[in-house]
This record gives sequence, structure tokens and C-alpha cells, in this order.
Amino acid sequence: MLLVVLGAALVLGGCATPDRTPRIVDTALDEASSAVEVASLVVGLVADGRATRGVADTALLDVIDDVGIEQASLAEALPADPRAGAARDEAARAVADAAEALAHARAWVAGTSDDDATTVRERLDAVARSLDEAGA
Amino acid sequence: MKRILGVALGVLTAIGGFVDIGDLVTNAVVGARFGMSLAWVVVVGVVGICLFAQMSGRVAAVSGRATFEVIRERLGPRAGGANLVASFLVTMLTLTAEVGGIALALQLVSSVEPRLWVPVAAFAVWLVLWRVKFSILENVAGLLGLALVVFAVALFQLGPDWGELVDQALRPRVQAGEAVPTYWYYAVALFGAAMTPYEVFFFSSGAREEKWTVQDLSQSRANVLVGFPLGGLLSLAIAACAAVVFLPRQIDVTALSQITLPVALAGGKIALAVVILGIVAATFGAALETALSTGYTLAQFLGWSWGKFRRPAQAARFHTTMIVALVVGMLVLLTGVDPVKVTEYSVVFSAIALPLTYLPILVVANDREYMGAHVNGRATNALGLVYLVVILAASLAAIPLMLMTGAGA
Repeated sequence: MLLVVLGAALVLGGCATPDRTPRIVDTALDEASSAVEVASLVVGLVADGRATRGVADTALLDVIDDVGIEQASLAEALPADPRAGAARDEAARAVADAAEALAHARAWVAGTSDDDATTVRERLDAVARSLDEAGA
Repeated sequence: MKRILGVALGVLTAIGGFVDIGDLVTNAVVGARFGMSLAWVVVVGVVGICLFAQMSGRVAAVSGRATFEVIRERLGPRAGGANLVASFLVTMLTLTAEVGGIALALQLVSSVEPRLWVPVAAFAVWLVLWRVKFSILENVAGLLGLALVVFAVALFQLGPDWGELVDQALRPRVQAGEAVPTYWYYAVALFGAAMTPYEVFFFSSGAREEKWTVQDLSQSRANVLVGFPLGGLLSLAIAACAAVVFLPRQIDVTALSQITLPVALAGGKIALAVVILGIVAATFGAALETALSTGYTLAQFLGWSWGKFRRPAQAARFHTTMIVALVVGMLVLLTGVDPVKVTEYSVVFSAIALPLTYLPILVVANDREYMGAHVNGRATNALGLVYLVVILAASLAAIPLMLMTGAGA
């Protein structure tokens, strides 16, 4: 009975769980890329006068929340080896850059940034490329 | 002329009332991830809900009994009680999702945190249920829900590659990077979104509210057989907009705000205003229907006096049930739970619970003692049995698929 309980505790405790870091990294990069694409779309819509600031702000806030969840997942991931750790660190940097670019896009939508739409979109495009490279 | 207007109003209400938060979210999520490859599920779901609603409406009109009165009579208190618990919980989950949907839609207009809108939305739903006549609440919400036609207009304005969309729909395949179980998980979710049990509780109880008789069966049939398929086209338009705008950009739909973006891209701010109006109307109308359905199911099963046609004092426990359901839904949302996640789970649990209400209605619709000359015909029965198999398969597959895919992650 004791052995069964100990076995279950080991499995449930994660000692026998395979390393989930690669999957967490992939998911985080996919979600961050999706968030950056949404932001790019939103910035384009606002620049063209096709979306209200309320809708744009809400859409950006939603993707900022999504990226925040992925940042937390990456921070909580426990890589099984240094290689997985390096991949996690690179993904964490790319996702953090994405979060910053999203915050910048939101500031532009709110009218509190001096940049123009082109600069904001270029920054989002650069972040999208970094996310692609981190996932390659 | 009055009769034609009545039929037209019923059909328009059925179209506008067809789409709720479950349809909005699930179709957009699926369109963004799988293109139109799951369009066949919407067709299967729409035929299913037509069959189910038409049978339950006919049972109510002919026998004078709504769905849970029939379930109690046919299954007895014990099996019927288990059925009641499952159906009531799924309806509560759907009500929570709808109230959350209203709050999210109001956030789009106001930029005010949705949790602050939740009590306002719940209070507004209660006020309408308390004060407004059944026919008015049903028709106004349904007609305003027609604003969602803007998705179909937006699709044309986006100028998609129609050949590609039709090809995706006619030759379904799993997109690269997606797993087969995930495809089937979303198939079940889409089926659950189209065949939500509350729609049937509302439809059959509405037949009693409006005092339908055998003479009203043709109008009921027109509402269902014309209105629901046209409503299904709206669902397809939502999925197609997501397929055109989000799929090439590899955007995952995670929020209601994103669902409006293809419409803004196609039609600008005016179209955006129309789609937000449509979303508020659709979620508000569905919140009314689900809140009523909580009252209907419990009151019908327990033999309480029920119905909007009675004054609240004459159906006190029916009204109390709705108030409690709304308060519970509101409290759940105030914990900070994501309404979109609640919606995603509610459509899957709808699919799981569906056989519980479908089977008794199919049995009673075949019972000459109840139905007399209006018993199911051979074609309806054959289709009914095919759907029983489909519904059971979806119900049994739902939980394993949910576990295998991490709820479609």
C-alpha cells in the first residue's frame, strides 16, 4: 500500500514526468506570434480609421494578457538540460520583447506615443521576426 | 396578411436568435485554426437542431407538455432527476457564458473592465425577465440579433478566394501543425454550439408560453426549417471571416474583441458598430433564453407554476430560480474567470448532455398516446435515429478528446 502511494506521489509530483519545456516554448512562441499579428492588424485598422480606439484598446489589452500568461509559463518551466534551458531563455527574451512592443502599440493607439503608425508596425514586424527565429 | 407577417417575424427572430456566444466564439476559433474544414459540422448541427426543435415544439403543441414535463413523465423522478441536474448545470454554464459575453461586448464600446459590466448585465437581464412580455423580449432580441448579418456582408467585402473557401469546406482536412484529435475536439465543440440544449427547452416552453396548438404547427415548422438554417449561414460567415483574415496570419482567436476585427477590416467603423450591436443583442437574447430555461427546467420537473404568461407572484419559485441562476452566474464571472473559456467549455458540455434530453423527446414524438396523428413519420424517425447515433458518439467522445487535447490547446 505504501509503495503504491509513494509511486503515485512520484508520478504526480513530476519526478517521472517527461520534460515539458519544449512544448511550453513552442506554445509561448506561437501565442506571442499570434498576439503580435493581432496588434499589427489593429494598428493598421486604427491608422486607416477603420476601428474605434475602444475596440483597438480592448483587442491589444486581450493579447497583452495572453502574452503575460505565456511569459509566466516560460518562467515557471523547469528545463531538463542546458540545451532546453537555452531554448527557454531565448524564447523568454523574444516573448518579453513582444510584450514590450504590444505595450508600445497600445500607447500609440491611446495617443500617448510620439511615434507614427509606420514605426509602430516596423517594431511589431521586427518582433515577429525574432519570434520566428527563436522558434526555428 | 397578419399570418404572413407572423411567419416572417418568427423566421427573422429564429435567424437573429440562432447565434449566441457559443456560436460566435467557436466558429471564429475554428475558422482561424481550420479554415472552413469543419463547415460540415455546422451543417450537421443545424439539421440536428431543426429536427430536435421541430419535434419538441410539436410535442409541446400537441400534448401541451414542455420538455421537462415530458422527461419527468417518461423517465420517472430518479432518472429524470439525474437528467435535470446535468441539463440544469449545462444551462447554468451557458447562462454564465452569455452574461460574460454581454460584459465583453460592452467593454468594446466603453473600454471599461468587463467585470464591472457583469453586475450591470445580470441586472439588465433580470429586469427584462421581470418586466417585459415574453413575445416582446423574444422578438426584439431576435430582430436586433439580425445585425450579425454584417458578418456575411463583411465576407463579401473582404473579397475572399471563394474557390479556396469552397474547397476547404468540401474537402475537409486537418491543417498542417494541427493534430487529428484537436480537429475532432473542435468538431464536437461546434456540434455542441449548434445543438445547445437550452434552445430546445426555450423553444418547447415558448410554445406553451405562446399557447401553441396543432393549428400553429405549420408556423413552428417554418420558424425552425427556414430560420435555423439561415442562422446557420451566419455561423458559417463568422467562420469564413476568421478563415480569410486570421488563418493566413496564424492568429489564434482567444478573445471576443478579435472576432470583430475582420468586420472592421471589411467595413470600417460603421460595420464595427453594427457588429457590436449584434453581439450585444445575440448574447443578451441568449442570456434571457438561458435564464428562462433554468426556471423552465426546474419548475417543469418539480411541478411548480411557471411561465412568463403568469404574473411573477403566481410563479414565484420560477422567478426565484432565474434570479438565483443569474446571481450564481454573476458571482462565477466576478472571480475573474475568462468568459471565452467558460464558453468553450459550455459548448463541449452541451454536446455531452445532449442525449439526456434528445432521447426522451424522440421517444415521445413516436408515442401515439401523446401525439395521436402528429406522431413522427418514417422519414423523421429514420433521421431521428441517425441523429441519436451522432449525438451519442459526440457525447461519448467529448471528454476523452478534451483530455487528450488539453481542451483543444
